[in-house]
Amino acid sequence: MGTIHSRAIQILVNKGEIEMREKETNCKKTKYPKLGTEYWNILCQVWANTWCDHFIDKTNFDTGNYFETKEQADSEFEWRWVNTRILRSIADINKEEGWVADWDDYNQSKWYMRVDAYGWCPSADCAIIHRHYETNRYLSDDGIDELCDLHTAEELKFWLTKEK
Amino acid sequence: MKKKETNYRESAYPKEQTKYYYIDGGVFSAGWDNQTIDKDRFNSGNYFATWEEGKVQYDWQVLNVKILNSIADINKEEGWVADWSDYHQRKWYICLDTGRCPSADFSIIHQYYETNRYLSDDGIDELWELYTQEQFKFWLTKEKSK
Repeated sequence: MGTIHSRAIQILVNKGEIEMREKETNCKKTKYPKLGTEYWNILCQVWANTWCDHFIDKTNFDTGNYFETKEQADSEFEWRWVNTRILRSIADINKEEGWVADWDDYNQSKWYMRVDAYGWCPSADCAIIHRHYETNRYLSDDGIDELCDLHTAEELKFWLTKEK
Repeated sequence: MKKKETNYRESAYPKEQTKYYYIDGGVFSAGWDNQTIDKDRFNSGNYFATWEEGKVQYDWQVLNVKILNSIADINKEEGWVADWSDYHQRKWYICLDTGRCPSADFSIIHQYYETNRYLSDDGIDELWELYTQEQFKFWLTKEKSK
């Protein structure tokens, strides 16, 4: 009995250690889909797949390239195109202006897009030091106007929220 | 959306045989052949001039999935959902503060990200415990501390 009890305590201790380690490495045990589950992923286009526990399936899952429905994958694919276009627009505008976001310059206005929940529409705001995004999403005072002319409000909202 | 489609700047595709990198379960290289597959990768942002750029994107995708899953788990456990029509609900998120360190801030009506990045008052504390500052910073900016 004593041995079984000790083992039970040992198991509990080990379980606790494992939980701690999981928290330390912040990786909860991944719940992969069941064998045979149909899913969709994006390569250069949207593709249908069947889950077979292959490392490619797991890599797709771990990198967010796993979609339960074709609609989800199509939406993500569309977003990636929009994202690429907008980021290239920003890069082009900044390049033409020779403007670079400088996070050491507390006098430089760094404009970016966000969604105003009052009207559910995109609006421009300016950051000085607080930063929400990668540097490649910020523009100058003039640059932000140009960006708003290049892309529709609907497109900018989809870019920001993935919602239509 | 169609209204302004003609306003897009034409993407300048790479020159023939330019070596580039793309993500497909890992980081792979290809030569630009002006084929549909090359253009689709380019236009969907799966085109990287260097292996290092591709690796950064790959690492970011892995971390992004982990953090978004953590947020989803925390919100699910709490039964919390961001409600953008509720002007009293605080919606917490991670941003970078003056010292360029990750910090938590909350939003009421201004939405910076997809809804799946927001948490409750308690939820943000829980998320904060799960990841290092380095990870949060990389998640937000794709930049790593030197």
